[in-house]
Amino acid sequence: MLTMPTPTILIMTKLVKNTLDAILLLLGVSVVVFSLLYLTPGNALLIQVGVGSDRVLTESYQALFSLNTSPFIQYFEWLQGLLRGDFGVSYVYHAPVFTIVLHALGVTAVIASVAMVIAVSVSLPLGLYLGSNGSQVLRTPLTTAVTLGVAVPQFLWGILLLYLFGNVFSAFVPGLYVPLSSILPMAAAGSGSHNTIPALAYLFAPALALALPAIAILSRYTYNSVRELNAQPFMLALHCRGIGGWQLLRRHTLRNLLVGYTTFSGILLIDLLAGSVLVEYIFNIPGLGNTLVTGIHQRDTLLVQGAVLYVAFLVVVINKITDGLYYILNPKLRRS
Amino acid sequence: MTATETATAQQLTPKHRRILPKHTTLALTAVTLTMLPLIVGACTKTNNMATTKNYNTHTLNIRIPQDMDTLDPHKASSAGTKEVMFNVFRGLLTPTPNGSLVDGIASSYSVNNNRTQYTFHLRPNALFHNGNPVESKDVVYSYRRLMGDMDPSIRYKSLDIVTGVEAVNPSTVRFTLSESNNSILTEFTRAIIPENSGDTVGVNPVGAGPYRLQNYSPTQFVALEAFPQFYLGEAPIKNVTFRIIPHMTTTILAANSQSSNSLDIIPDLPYNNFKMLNMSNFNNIAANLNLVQILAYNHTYAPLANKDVRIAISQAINKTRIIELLTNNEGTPLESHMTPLMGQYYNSSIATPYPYNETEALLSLKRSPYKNGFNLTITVPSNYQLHVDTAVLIAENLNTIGINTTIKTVEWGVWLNDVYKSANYEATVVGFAGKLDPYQTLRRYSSTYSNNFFHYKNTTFDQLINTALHSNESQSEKAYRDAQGILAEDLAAYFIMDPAVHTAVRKGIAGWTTYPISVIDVYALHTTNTNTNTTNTTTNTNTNTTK
Repeated sequence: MLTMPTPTILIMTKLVKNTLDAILLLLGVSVVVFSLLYLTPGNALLIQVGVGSDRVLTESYQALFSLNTSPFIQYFEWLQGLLRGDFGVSYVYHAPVFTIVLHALGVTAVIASVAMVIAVSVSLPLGLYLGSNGSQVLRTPLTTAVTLGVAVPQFLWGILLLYLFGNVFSAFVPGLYVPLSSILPMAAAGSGSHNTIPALAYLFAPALALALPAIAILSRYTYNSVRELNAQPFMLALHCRGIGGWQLLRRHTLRNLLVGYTTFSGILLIDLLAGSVLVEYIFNIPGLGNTLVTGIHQRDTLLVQGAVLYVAFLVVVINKITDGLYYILNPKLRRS
Repeated sequence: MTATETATAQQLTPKHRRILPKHTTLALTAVTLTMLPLIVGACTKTNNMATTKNYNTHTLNIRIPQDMDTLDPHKASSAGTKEVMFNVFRGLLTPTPNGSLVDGIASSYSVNNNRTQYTFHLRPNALFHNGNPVESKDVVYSYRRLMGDMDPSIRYKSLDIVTGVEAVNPSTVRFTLSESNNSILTEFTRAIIPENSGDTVGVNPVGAGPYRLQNYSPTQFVALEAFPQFYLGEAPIKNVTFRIIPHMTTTILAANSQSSNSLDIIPDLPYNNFKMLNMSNFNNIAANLNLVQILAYNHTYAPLANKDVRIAISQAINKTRIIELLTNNEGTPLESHMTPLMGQYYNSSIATPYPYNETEALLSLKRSPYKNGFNLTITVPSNYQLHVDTAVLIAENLNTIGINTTIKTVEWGVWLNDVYKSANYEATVVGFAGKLDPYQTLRRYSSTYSNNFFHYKNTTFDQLINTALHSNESQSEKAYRDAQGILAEDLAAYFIMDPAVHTAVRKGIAGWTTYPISVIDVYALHTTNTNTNTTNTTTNTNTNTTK
């Protein structure tokens, strides 16, 4: 006689399947990145030695980075190291890739998170307002601002904000990144209060440059979704039953809106974490984008592989979190 | 949903369809509109900025466009790293702005008659930044490391002729060579590090230079402080920070900033960018680079192996126009592979063998087997705008005489691999950075040199630079000059110019000195009480180079 699997078994099966999917995806990404880097013309050793130098890189040095072996052996050695938690050593910085990427990721993650908080806290009320029937006086300028937010690229926002905060407000010196850690209690005595404004401004300005296009995209999405929802018959029914105001917003509009909004936000967060290269370059922030660009220019294969793998890992994790949020936001999914 | 239902929903009045209460809508609008200005306002700070700074209390900020490749002086290969670390390390000898070598850590040296033994006497007051005196054991250790005895990543071929380094006594060190070699002197400028510090020098670089490392933040800055016990006395500027800012717009904004931490010196600033700089605060110091910019030929490419074709190319290219358009007429035209900054080694008597003349160029091409023209691809490294622009102007000239020229821009890493290493190219525009040693400048054309990517071969030239390497001073100088004559006459390459470089130096700072190699000499800088009003000051010395 057949017995139904218990919910625990079902959850475990799903978890194992999800983990295997993630591992396969990361493996695929690593193969693609390695192949692309291997096929890209250029020579890491030559870049290190430069033109006209008398320096000789001995065989033993090349062996240290496995540069004189076949690409297959290089890849599998790297994979072996990965299983031991060893991402290898960067040719450029002569330091473990793990440490470099983790540090850079920390910087990027803080900025991306602030950007996301700004994006959500501005786009949601803005979208709801535009989707509702508020004052027409504000509608036109706000819609124009949203269009402008989409049209102007991130790097241009970056330059404008760098000028505004650096040269007009003198909140920081352009290009002189002040880490947030410098204002923490464990930072050197005396430096905390002195660095507070530059550190906060150097966090806020790039985050804003990243957030502006995201605000525009998310508020447009919210706006369109609200308009569509308003056209639904159940909204009319709710109105007829005398439901409105906060109750309608919280229990009906937001509930319906947030499933799609979360998907969009997840995609944008991934974009912010992986795609803030230009803003980091302009603000001179030692984040993941800058690290990746340096790595690619210098043909630092291990650094690029490590960084890309981290980004891929983040994409997987954020996607899983977004999936999880669906369950919380949509009762239908929970019941099924 | 039926059509009737949809229609009913759409017929709702705006009031009925309102999803937010009116007050909430207004409140949200107010929050949205006030949020940004409030946060922006919170971050603002008024700062009364003085255009001149007091460098006894303020740090001098110098812009560099790229990060250090390593802090280990024996491993560093990038010119950008060397120009910074020149302030931290010193060698037995030290280069001067005119390209000569003077005593560094060594107070004097002697050479035996057949020039195979060099004995250096060390300064008694030379100290490392850790307070220990510089002794012969440190010199022996440093050179054994450079010769490849200790670290698999360090071995300099140029030191292969050194057969022995010995500490005669704590203040005397002797080098023995397998043969006399005029090129060896520049090798004595290499950094001396404390004995057994090889494993830590990349993290904690201890040298005997005028500045010691205070703090290094990768991709951000290198902060140095004056070393009070430097053997020539403490530097006038006490604190200096090399700020790593790759982006030009950020650099300009950092220089124009009102902060006391704004940039004070921007070396190698493209001339056009001075327009964006607040020039009431800066002087523009122009100097020639010791850089030889050439249109290099691959002599294995059949059309370019033909001398008549090379003559036609020389006659077709309008060098004056290139210098005028690309360097604001500040570049120095070159006729061979050496710049006037190399002093006594430079051959100033070479006249342009085949001057610009389009009609003559056509005739020269007609004399060759390629009278109907041929295809030529010029490969250029895309990160050097000057070379790209030069290639465009050259292509324009060559197309007029029937040489169908195309430009292929490639990334620097690709150029190194395809052009420099594999010689897989037809022609390229590139610049060769200055060297202190004329042999290292000219040997590129020697058929025995492993990196002769031109595949140029001329027996007389080979003999001449070999003579120059092993003979006495006057014979050597003559041989170098004759060798340049051969390169010019034989059109080994098309020699273009030594471009000019501009440095923005904040008013109130004096002593900016340029060298024939990559050096930013902070020790020479000092403050002035009176601001100089000179802009566009042209000096005849040289400065840091691009590679």
